[in-house]
Amino acid sequence: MKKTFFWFVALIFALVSCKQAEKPAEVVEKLTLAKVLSDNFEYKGGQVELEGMVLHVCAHSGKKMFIGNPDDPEQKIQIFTSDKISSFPKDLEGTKVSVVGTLEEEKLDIEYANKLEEEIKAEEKENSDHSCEFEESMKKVENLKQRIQNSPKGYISKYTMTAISFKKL
Amino acid sequence: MNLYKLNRTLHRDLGYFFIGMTLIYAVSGIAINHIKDWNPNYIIRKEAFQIDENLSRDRIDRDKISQILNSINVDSYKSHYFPKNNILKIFIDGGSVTCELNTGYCEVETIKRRPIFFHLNKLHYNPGKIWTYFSDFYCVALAFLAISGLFIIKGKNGLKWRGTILGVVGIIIPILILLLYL
Repeated sequence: MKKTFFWFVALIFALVSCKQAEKPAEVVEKLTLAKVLSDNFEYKGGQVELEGMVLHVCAHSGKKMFIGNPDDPEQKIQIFTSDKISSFPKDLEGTKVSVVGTLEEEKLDIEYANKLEEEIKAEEKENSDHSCEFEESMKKVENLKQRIQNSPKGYISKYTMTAISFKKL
Repeated sequence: MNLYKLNRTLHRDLGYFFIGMTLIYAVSGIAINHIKDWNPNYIIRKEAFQIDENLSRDRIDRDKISQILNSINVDSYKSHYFPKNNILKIFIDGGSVTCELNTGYCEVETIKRRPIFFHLNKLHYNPGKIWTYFSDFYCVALAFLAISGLFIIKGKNGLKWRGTILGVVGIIIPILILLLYL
């Protein structure tokens, strides 16, 4: 019995004392939301730092949040936690933060826009009354299509961020 | 010590040692399983109230916001913004206030951590590296507990009859459910 207990304790200590070798600090590029969200921004990889106001934190898991520019609600980016952050506290909402992490690119092309348009129309068919929300959504799709057509890349990049650290400003 | 006795001892001691972990995962597992029906981490309360109708966005300043917050006895302003042209969102300590400026309809939302569940769920969602190692250890131990449990009792109440029947049924159920959802 004593032996078993000893091995338990030894194992716990071994697990707790596991320490990774410190890596040299990576260069962090400071960017603005406006720049990341502009159509001509190209992400070259590496860590970036973004500042903005926390507009929403997911209340269920705390694993994602939106930060944005309070003066322009369209300027916002979704941030996900990584293995370095367990969750974002809900009380971050309404505070200005600086977040360091890496960006993930999603390519929105004309196929994506057409599919989105079909989905919105199908959803509207199910609702009998013609809503203002439908018109607003259709306007957004039209706008997206125009941006895709004007983009030299043939698609629009939508970025999300995986955060490795954040601090209140 | 023979193998049978060692198996029983390890099964018993690991069982004792991981009582806490088992309860953490059991309680938070149920809580998170029903995430569509409730918020397992926060108690969210919403209350509606009314302000003046047809307030234009340019008439909203700090004084007006203070008036709105005073009307519901809140004095913990953090910040505000306009998610849409006619929607005002005011962040306060422990929640937010959202107002439709054209109708004057407002809702105050207060958010409080759900006692016990918030912390259990935080552990379930893996708060860091040390927890990863410890919960990995628990998972290995759980597998050991499952296997070693088969050899605790000898005879017809063991693997010869009851153990095999119940064990096989317990394996078939998740397979059937998987086939149902595939």
